[in-house]
Amino acid sequence: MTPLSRLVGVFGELLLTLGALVLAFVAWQLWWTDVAANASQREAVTGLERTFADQPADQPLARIPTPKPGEAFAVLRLPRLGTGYATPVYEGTDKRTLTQGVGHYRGTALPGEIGNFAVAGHRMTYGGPFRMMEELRAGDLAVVETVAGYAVYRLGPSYITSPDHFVALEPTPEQPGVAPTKASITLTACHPKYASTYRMIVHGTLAHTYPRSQGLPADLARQLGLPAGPTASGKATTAPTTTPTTKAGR
Amino acid sequence: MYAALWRHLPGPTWVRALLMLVLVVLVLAVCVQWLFPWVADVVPFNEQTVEAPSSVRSVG
Repeated sequence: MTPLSRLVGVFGELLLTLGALVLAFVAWQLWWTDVAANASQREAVTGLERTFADQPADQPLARIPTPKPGEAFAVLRLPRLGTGYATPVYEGTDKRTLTQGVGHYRGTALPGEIGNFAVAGHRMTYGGPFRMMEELRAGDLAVVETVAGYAVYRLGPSYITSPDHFVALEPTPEQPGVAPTKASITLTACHPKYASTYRMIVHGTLAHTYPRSQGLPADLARQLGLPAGPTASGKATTAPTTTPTTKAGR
Repeated sequence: MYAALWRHLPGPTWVRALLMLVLVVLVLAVCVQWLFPWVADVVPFNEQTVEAPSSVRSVG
């Protein structure tokens, strides 16, 4: 074998190896990240529910402490996407945070607070919490649970826009410079799936809040696959809050 | 390249094949643990956020 043909052989093998690694990356991204994230996000929701149940239940909803970057601090439920649909909300929207669940845009309002509670989530890979986002219809509910209770938002229609449409995150969504008078929610995700050319966005406004001590009304709790709140079920104890999570898993 | 690696591995054929398999699994494990997450961070294929151009960034 001449040195040249040996060199060509090694080069060919390197190319084959590179091709195999690219295939492995695609398999990892499209399949394995979902497998890993589904398990870890369910675990995160369970952990959050346990933490919430252990806390004293007398905080006003919009007065929860500002979460630290990367901290899981809320559970988002979208009953349209399934009775048991629950995804953890982390503080921050950097790529690493979004691999864990839904990310809260730093500096935007907290759940139930006047202003815009804005979150971003994947529609594919890493568990794809917003995979079925196109199924959301105007009038659907988005329920955000924090340590202090539940903020129930009523969603408007979704729309497709460009990635630099950051006015969606303004305290009054879409209206820069307008002081907020309402508590809003904003969900953002990529569009179309498997690409990042556009963004899909849904806004909503706060319809109800339920402090933890009161719990959810029975019909809403049923929609979310959760046990009804202590007052709704006629019991004065807070004991039922220790078990909601096993039913919340997808 | 792989032929040379094969020649340098010790033992009979089945031991060499086993060692090859272990090496492949090791390489894939390193990729999944460190390389792939890093690549996913760097490539702009999977963005979910709306952002201002950095000069006028207000939130995000």
